[in-house]
Amino acid sequence: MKRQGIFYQVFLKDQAILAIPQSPKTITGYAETIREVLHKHLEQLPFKVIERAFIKALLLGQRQDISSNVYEAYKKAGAVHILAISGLHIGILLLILQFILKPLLYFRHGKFVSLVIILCVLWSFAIIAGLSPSVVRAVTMFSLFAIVKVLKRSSNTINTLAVSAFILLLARPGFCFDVGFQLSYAAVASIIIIKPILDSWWHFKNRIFNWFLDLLKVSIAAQIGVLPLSLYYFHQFPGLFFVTNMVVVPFLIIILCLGIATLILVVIHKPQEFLVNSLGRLIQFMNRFVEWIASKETFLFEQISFDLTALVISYLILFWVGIFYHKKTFKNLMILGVCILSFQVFVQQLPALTSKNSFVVFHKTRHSVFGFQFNQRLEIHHDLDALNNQRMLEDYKIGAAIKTQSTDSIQRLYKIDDKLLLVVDSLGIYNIKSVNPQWVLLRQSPKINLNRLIDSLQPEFIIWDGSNYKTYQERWKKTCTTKNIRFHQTSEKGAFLVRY
Amino acid sequence: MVWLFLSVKTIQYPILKLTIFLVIGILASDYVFISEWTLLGGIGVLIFVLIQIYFYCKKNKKTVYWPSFLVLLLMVLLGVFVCKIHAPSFSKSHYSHLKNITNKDLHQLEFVIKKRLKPTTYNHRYYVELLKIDSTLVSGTLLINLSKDSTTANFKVNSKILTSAQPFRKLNHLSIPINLITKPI
Repeated sequence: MKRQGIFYQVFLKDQAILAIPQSPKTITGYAETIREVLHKHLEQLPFKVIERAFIKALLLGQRQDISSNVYEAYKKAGAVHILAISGLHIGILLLILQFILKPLLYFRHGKFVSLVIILCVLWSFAIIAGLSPSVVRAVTMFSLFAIVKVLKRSSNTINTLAVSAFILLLARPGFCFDVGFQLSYAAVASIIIIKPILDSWWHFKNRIFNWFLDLLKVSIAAQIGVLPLSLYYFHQFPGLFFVTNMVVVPFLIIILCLGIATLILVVIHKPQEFLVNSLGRLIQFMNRFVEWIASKETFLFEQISFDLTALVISYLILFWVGIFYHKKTFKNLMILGVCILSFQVFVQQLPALTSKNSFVVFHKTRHSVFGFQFNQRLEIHHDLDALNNQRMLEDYKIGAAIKTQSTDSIQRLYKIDDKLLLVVDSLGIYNIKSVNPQWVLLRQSPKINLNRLIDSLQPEFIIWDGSNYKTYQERWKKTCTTKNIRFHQTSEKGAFLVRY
Repeated sequence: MVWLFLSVKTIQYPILKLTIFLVIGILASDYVFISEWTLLGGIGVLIFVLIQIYFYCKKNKKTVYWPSFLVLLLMVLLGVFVCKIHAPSFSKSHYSHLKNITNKDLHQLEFVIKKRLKPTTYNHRYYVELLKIDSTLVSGTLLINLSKDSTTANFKVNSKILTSAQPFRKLNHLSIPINLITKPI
């Protein structure tokens, strides 16, 4: 959010909120009014809730009504790109428009007129969809493609892509850090570069077969380009992405056509019942198919650890594979080899070789969770009812590339590197003669006098986690500050982590 | 790596090169502490030198390749510059320049709703464009969390709203999940 230029937030509650009536004068205001009108008309049609949510997301760019279950299913099936209005939608729209406007080409100036119409339609679509960054990006990109196609100036698509990126970045440098921007450019670039390579390998004579094969090739090419980024950001790889795309993309094309037709008809006149019904059916069917794919969890690879080094090196590898494919010289092969070797060294071998032991006190309200990491093994000591679905643990495991995990109950005394850590729980026992701990951890709100504990044990460091009462934590904080003892309160500073 | 990249003969995509170096500039902008005006001066000087070289070469019918490095340097500088001037704090009227917004008084806010975000369990959320704090004219975008029980009204995009609010809370403290803050000692 800092990248979007938003630094502060405000919480409003039960306060006098006064809406000043104001006629919408800006473009976004008009777009909102148009959306409202369309929305009102849509409400009157006999759609189910989920179908209406889909139509709003796919045609008006309003994704708020799509439930997180559906979203999760699309993510697992590798089809999440169709839920946001992005390059795919605009691309399809452009193809539809070019198909409809084909007859114009036989007239004089037909090319120019069709270009103007295409640009107008694309941009008005972008405005109606709320001019969100992803839509503006996609429309800019495809407008450039359309213009270049008409002008027949340098048919070099990579350059067109670069120009659009250049313009967008000059206007909004923040896009550079936007996941959507990175994903869509990676996808388009790899489709442009990899698709011809795949084309030269295999194709069918039959046109219909070839069309589906093209779809398959495009989705494979896009997936190759996007893979490192999606591993880096989402840590998962949908293994059945090509099956999903082969089915969902044709559906999307039909749904977009029917949807736009319905929207136009709904404003002019009452649309045919047949049209509405078939649109609803199609959305239902697409949903059911995606859910079915998402339920095949064996093909979904989750919790893949992938860091920035891996991301950079894997793109270098892809880049040099491309170079080597076009120019098979010894030098290029050597560089490619070095890249692959460095991937193996930095990503696969080095993390396993360097010893990484750490001790973590996670923050969990009313519970205590400790983690002991020994290289790629994680031992969790906890007092939770169940360990499933703990986001913090999952995140930690992905970040630290943990392979195996075991659980245990919480002990009284731990040895961390060369320090002794005494755990004081609700029993409040700390006067053990033979032990001289350097660190003390307080959990389950022990009724102890912290002053006396500090005097008798002389610890270097005191930690307390989320299982303690808040009042106790405040009191301990004051004691530690007056006694000048270093402390760590997980509710304020977050998890406590020691590497050794 | 950069040298290798430049030496690849197969890349005959000039604009791609420019774009890549622009991106490098944007990425580097967080670590470059040069004022906007110095950068602008540098860009101006570079453009001037490049034009001079161009006319010199045209006059003497020579072809030289080394100025391409200047062009790429120009792109990097341009990237940094663009990033700097787009930072919201560059604008003098940005609300973060006001000192008193984080204290505990109630502030009167006037803003326009820009975008409705996905609501959370307890809050409706909006991105808004601030117009006024108390009586000072300001600019800048703000995240508004509107408690769901307080009002049922669903604000439209672009409606103007007048309200009073508690202190502003810094976002980066809240947006980082508590279990990811780690403190090695």
